[in-house]
Amino acid sequence: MDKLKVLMLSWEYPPRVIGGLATHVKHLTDELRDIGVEIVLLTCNYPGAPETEELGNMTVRRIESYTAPTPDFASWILLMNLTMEREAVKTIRELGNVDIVHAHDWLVAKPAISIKHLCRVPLISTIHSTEQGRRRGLHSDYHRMIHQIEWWLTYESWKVICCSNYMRDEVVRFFNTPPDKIAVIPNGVDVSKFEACACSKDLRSRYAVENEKIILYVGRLVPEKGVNVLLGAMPGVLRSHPEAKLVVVGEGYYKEELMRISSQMNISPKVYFTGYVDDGTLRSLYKCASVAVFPSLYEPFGIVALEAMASGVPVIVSNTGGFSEIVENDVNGLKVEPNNSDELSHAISYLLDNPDVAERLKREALIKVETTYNWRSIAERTKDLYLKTLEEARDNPWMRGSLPANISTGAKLC
Amino acid sequence: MIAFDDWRAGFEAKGGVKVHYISNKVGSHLNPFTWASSLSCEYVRTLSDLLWEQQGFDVVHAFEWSSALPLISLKESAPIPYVQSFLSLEELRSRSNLSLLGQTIKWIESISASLADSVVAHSELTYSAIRALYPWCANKLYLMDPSTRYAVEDLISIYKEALEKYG
Repeated sequence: MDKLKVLMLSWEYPPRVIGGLATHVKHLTDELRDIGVEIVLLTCNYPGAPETEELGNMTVRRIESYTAPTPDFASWILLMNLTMEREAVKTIRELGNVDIVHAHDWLVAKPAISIKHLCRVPLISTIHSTEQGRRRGLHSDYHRMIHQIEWWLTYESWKVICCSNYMRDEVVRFFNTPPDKIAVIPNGVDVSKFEACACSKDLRSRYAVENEKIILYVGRLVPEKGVNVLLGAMPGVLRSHPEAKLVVVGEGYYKEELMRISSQMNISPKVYFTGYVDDGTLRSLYKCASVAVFPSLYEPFGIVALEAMASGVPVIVSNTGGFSEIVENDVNGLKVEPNNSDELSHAISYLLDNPDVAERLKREALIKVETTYNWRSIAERTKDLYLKTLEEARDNPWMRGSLPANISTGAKLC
Repeated sequence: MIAFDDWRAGFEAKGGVKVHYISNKVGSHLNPFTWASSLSCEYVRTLSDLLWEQQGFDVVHAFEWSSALPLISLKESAPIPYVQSFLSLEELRSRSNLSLLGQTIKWIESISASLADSVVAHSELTYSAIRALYPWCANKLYLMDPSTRYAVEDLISIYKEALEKYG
């Protein structure tokens, strides 16, 4: 076959960065095009970003996504999907048919499913997390609708990619997806970007005084991340290590509640909520930290742990979700029971008391991220999955339809 | 005919009409737009299957904004004449007091009217409203009262006219 050509759909791609998805798609597509996969990426527009971008083997098309008012976020997504679907058809007619459609999450399910049927090409989807997991249940029609769209996407997909075994089990349990339809391909981290950074005195002084040891949390401030558990661990840590300082990086609707909790516990002077920080500052901040703590209650993958490991910071994670698979207890980090402040408090104190242990964990962690979580090997595994899917699809009768004469002579469906 | 029926998905031939019943794969919804939006994928799937299985058609005719959604992408993909019928408009239903949902629906009505090769109003009130709101579609706008004796003949001539545009 000629060059493998993939239509990738993602609602975010730099410079539009909402969560971790943009970074994932950026790294994945960068590596895929380096190994000879041609990518056509459709994403939402962003002020100042070009409508079309040519990046070697890759074409990025940004669609107009704010054309009409909508009553809520989900309706906005579905209206954006309508525009994306239309643009996808236009793009395919202009740039030629594609071999695979690859969709990231429910946010682009509708155009992905339509293009699959219009063009009769296999659909591959990556489920980064699930609504039922994020919300710890389905409590409203809003949650149920998103859950059903997620099910629908997995149902229509030839193959489903999950970033961890934990997510694979969740997808099987929540959507009844056959396990043999799921491929586990982890997220990755670009170690070189983290290695190149250093902790400057100036930066450090913005967050802590000279003798303070920084305990770092990075992530969205939402209940499922368990930052309240970390706050609960702090009085214990401060009793044995008064020089400790908790730096909480991130934003989220739970922030005010967390600030209220820290004030109620009288630890406010020892907790710094930085809000959003840019990537460069964050990478340097990792280097300033004595320990990085991620106490999530729900975590499909946990890319922040990889970032900390790549930065050479010892990590403590809760024994849940993707964290359980990334961190091997007492080998490349420490694992604690989720939602247990006492255990977390002991683990933090243990690492602060034992720099030689912290050093050993850091060393092993770096080896782990360099070998298992590099984007090149992730892209290669993704390409293999594309090829395997095409191989399977070739013998499928559904792929062998043909169009009526009035369509195929004038123009094709795709 | 592709029609929605959650309880009777499948195919049925009735008096010369082949009916493909589709159901919505998504059961919970926030509003009529999210319902129509997910249903539109099933329209697209059925339309594509018909085309890929060599059961072509000469004209595609959508009724109201909710059935227009699948045509918005199909129109980009296949050179098939597209006729859009409006029994009413959101502007009339809401008496010009449009909520955010109403504005979304109005936007879809406007897009479908602009993409359609012919626009059919089913009452004089709707006909006048379309002329006032979307004056740019005056030259492809038709009034067809389904209760009149000649409604079917009128519709066939609208189809023929739309077809002629495609040679």
